[in-house]
Amino acid sequence: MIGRPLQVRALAGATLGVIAALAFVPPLWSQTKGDSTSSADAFDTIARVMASPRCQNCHTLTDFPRQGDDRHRHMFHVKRGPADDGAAGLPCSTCHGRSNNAASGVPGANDECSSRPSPWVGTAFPNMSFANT
Amino acid sequence: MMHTPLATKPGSLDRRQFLGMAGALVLSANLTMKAQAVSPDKFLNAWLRIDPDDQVTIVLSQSEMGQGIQTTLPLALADELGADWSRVRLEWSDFDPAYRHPQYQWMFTGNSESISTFFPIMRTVGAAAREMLVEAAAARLSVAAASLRVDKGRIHHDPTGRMLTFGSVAADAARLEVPKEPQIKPASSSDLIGKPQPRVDIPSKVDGSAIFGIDVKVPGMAVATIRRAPSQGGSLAAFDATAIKAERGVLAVVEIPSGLAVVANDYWTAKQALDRAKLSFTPGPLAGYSTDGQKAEYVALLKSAPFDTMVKAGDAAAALAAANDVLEATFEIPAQAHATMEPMNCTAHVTQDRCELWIPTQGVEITHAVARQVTGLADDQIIIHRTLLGGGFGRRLLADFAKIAIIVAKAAGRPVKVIWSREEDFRYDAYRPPMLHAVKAFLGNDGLPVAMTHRVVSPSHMLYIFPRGAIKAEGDWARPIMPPAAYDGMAVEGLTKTPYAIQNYAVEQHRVDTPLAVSVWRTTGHGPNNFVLESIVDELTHRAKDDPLSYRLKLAASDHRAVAVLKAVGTLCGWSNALPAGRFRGLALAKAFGGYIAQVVEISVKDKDIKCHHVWSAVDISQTLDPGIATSNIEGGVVWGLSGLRTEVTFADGEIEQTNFDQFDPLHLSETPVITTQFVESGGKPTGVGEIGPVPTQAAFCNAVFAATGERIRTLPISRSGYQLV
Amino acid sequence: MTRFSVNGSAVTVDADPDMPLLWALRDHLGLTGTKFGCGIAACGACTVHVDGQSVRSCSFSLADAEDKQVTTIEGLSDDRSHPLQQAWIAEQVPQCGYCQSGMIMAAAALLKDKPHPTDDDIDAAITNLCRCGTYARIRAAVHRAVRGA
Repeated sequence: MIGRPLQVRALAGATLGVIAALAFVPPLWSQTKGDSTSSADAFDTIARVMASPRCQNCHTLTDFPRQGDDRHRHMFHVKRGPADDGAAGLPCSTCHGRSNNAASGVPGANDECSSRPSPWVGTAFPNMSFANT
Repeated sequence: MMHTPLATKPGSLDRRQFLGMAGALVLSANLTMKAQAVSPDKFLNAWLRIDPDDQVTIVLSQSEMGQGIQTTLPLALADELGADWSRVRLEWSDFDPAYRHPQYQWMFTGNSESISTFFPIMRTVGAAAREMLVEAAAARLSVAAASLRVDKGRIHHDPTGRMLTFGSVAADAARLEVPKEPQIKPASSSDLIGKPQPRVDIPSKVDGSAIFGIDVKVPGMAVATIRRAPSQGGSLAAFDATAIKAERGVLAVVEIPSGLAVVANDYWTAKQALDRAKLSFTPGPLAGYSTDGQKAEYVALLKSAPFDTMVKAGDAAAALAAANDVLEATFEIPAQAHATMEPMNCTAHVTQDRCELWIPTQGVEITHAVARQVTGLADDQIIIHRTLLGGGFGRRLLADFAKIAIIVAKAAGRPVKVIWSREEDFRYDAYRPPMLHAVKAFLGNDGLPVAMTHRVVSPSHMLYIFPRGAIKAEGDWARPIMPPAAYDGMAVEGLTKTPYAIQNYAVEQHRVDTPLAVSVWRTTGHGPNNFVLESIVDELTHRAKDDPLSYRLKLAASDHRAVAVLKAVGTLCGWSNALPAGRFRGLALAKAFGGYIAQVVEISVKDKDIKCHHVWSAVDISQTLDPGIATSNIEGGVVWGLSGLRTEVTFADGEIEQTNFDQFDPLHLSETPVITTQFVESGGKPTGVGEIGPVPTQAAFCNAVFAATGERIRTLPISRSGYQLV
Repeated sequence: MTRFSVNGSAVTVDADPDMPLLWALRDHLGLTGTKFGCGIAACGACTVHVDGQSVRSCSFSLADAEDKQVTTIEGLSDDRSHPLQQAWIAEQVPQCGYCQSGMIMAAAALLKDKPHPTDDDIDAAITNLCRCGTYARIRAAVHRAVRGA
């Protein structure tokens, strides 16, 4: 099922749980060990999570994060920064709290902020284009 | 410096109040000013007070919205008076006919007219008061007035070493006849005029102590916010009153035109209550209005609507009909939002016999009139305390936000500060109107244009801000009015009087009757019109295979001020020098707001990303009263012009599509070019500098884009041509 | 009840924990130097420091301020003596001035992280909006503050 084109936009409304889902990826993987159907489903789940703009917008291969389901470049020329947490004086946490902010509508970000995806990601999800992400 | 804190006056200037102040220099002058000429005996006590303790107080009629008027105008008076500028106190005026613009009979701050209107008044008032103080001192000392010298609030008799302070002779001076023609010092003799002065407002703007409208605190005050139909002018259909009342800290709910205000202990509580109240609306007069529809309508109007002739020299139509190879081009100008950094707000306290407003406004008189209409109170029962303005740009000439605050405070029965959300600020702006231009021109054998015609399809820019006093219109002063066509040249300004001599020239206008709320926006008609005119001149330059600077020098040869700024900007930027690889320049010239400006923009283009590297301006505002403040106005103006290359507001089914800064994206620091500005002193009566800076920027920029790419941008914003400014 | 420190003083605010810090500062603590501009963390007019780091206070809940040290423009110095405030005056930066509290707080956060910033550092750190267009002078003032002139 891995090769199936991923319907990223379908996830647009379900982004709230994505950070949490990502945090639970290893246990999900281990629970389904030995069951090939479940493994495939689980992997598909991971794939969908990882392909979500909600994840990819921060964890880009570029020197800047992105925004929105259309994955446009983050406004205001926001930079990745040397430590993957924004520019000097303007860390991601200037605007992004640990959870979504209901008042401003600004999405939350986890502590890892904008670390680049591991090289295996591109191998594991060959049909996803990471070249420009 | 004693300039802060700025006191707001508790009431309007009153003749009795002055006469009752024993010992102060108070002149019994008629405050109801009818004469149009500067006449010192009609201004003195409106602008200046000298107390026996030597305190000199100068009254500010013009609002401070960043342009520095709060420094330059009172400094001009203090300098002429011979006061110690560092000890002068400043006060905001209330509404009073004495502060009206003499020509329009209307009190406002805008259209870059504060300097041209009030600088001569400041100098005359200062000179008259100085002569009276000197005459009083001469009598006291039994010496000739000519033997006295004034310096920093003191009158010296050097031969005997005696000295009197302003305060000690103020009462005597007040009894003297006001000189009819006071001798005004030449500006060249001044230590202050013509030299950069520290702005009086800046210290308070670096430590958070500056008070804008949104910062006002009044005893017993509550805070409110509002929500109205997303389609301007729609109606509130239903809301959940229970949900609002359930919110802890909600004090009152007030229906306002098109929506609802919630009054609470704080802004957040009021906003939360509105969020939970499930407001629903029915569309109003803008239902169905869209930017796509507007564009189509304008194109149709251009083809078949009647046009008023605003300028006709020679017979351009006949010349064009007979010509071959006519250049024809249309230009589309988008609607724009003001988007002042401080959202609209006003604090009001309305009782049975008094309406007090604390308001960041450019439009003191219209605010006063609206307050009178809404409350039914008399002139002297309306009290307007002005605050600093967190940006104006024309938006704060309107009194719609005052009206709402008055309605809400009256209903709440207590002082209420009404703060609009940013979304309300965008939805209920009065926008710079969209415009459509059609230009035709052709060149003679000498490469210069033989004929040119402009057709402008545009709503009036003056619907909300036209001085009602002049036409005695009754009704709701917060609503728009169509000014008489003869007074409504703003949509074609900058085209009717150009620096260029073209034998056959015509400008025609069709005034669109639009349901969209539209009004003036920094640069008014000059900005969009200069974009069109200077783009066309650039196209003609290329047809004539000439250089943009030398072509304009030929075309404007008979206008020596235009020639001077063109030559100056050429020298300033090194126009004839070879450019670094990948850099391209564009030039534009403007005659606007009483002055002249020539501007060069240097860019580079990578794919569709345009980087603006440098902008040079040569500016002639006749006499530069403060080169520091004037330079900052031009710098800010350039940023305003560049921002307008990429911002626009659009509409779909009557609703604006941009409601915050994530969708309306003005220039940021990283995109700001190096800005170099030089002033050309042509002499004469000084004119304003607040709006001239951005006038040529968009044409100069797009002319540079043509130099770089060969592509002519005739529609703004530049994103419509696939470009972005980075 | 949320307890935290503002400009060195302990404060308690009795309000909705979801209230943005901005409105707690302005409406409950009377500190109006911090401005409301957009409410969506896009303009930066509300920039303050929380535990020494820049935060857009319209997008930072009161609950998250618990036990934190908040610094606003009013607390940057007692007497406009902070090098940035001095530089802002020397360069005559503000026009309308509404955005400048946020600008100065953003610049102060930059200088903490990078005491000698380049133009690129300034571009990346100061993404606040100014409609008057004071950006060129902001850049000059940051450099001036670093020079100590």
